Amino acid sequence: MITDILIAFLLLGGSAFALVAALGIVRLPDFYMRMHAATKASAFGLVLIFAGAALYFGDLLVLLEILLIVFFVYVTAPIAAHLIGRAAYHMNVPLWEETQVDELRPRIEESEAEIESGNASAAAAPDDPAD
Amino acid sequence: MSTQRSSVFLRLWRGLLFSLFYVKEVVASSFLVAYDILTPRLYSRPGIIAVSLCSLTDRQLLVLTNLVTMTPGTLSLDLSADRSMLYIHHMHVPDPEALRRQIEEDYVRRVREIF
Repeated sequence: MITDILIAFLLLGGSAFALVAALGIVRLPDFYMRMHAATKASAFGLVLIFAGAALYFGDLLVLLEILLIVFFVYVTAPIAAHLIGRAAYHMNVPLWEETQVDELRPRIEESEAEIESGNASAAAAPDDPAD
Repeated sequence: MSTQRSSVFLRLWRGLLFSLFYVKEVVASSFLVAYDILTPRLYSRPGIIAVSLCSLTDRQLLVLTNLVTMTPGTLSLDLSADRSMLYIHHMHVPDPEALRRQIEEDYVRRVREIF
């Protein structure tokens, strides 16, 4: 009985977090903040749902499988978030106008300027043996 | 022999403490992001800050970026080519310096201790 209530609580809590993550994707103002919602809240919702499943089955093998699933979700979700966020930034997906500081932009402009000047110096050398 | 054994126990103990810290941060970050989403007015003032890393191994770097993404308000966004700077998107940056110090001192120290 108490276990049932606990299971129900975990499943509903997990679903609530998944819902919050979905709401966050709709309501947060820029791409990067949406990434916060999509990684943190949804991964945590998943953990709660799986905890409920573990309690429901009450089986050691199931528990082991669930621990592995949770482990892999927590190892891979940040990597996906990092890659998506990084790709978005390099494609100049705009930040929200309330963004306070951006210490990444100067560094990217610097490296772009370096590439530009590298191309310019290559173009300025017409007697290159390659062509 | 005994010192070796105690160092194994010490590592295990630190690993356990780190896991608890990780779980605490994960729970806190989930509730924080849920709070940010559900409050009608958005109080978040995001920003991207640079954190300097001094010579972390590959494994330490993996754990640190993972920890940063899963902890309250932060998302690791980019790593400089020479691996000396980590760029972090943060949901609340009232004070970039304090935040930078917190990550450099607290997170990097914890990760360096164990991995």
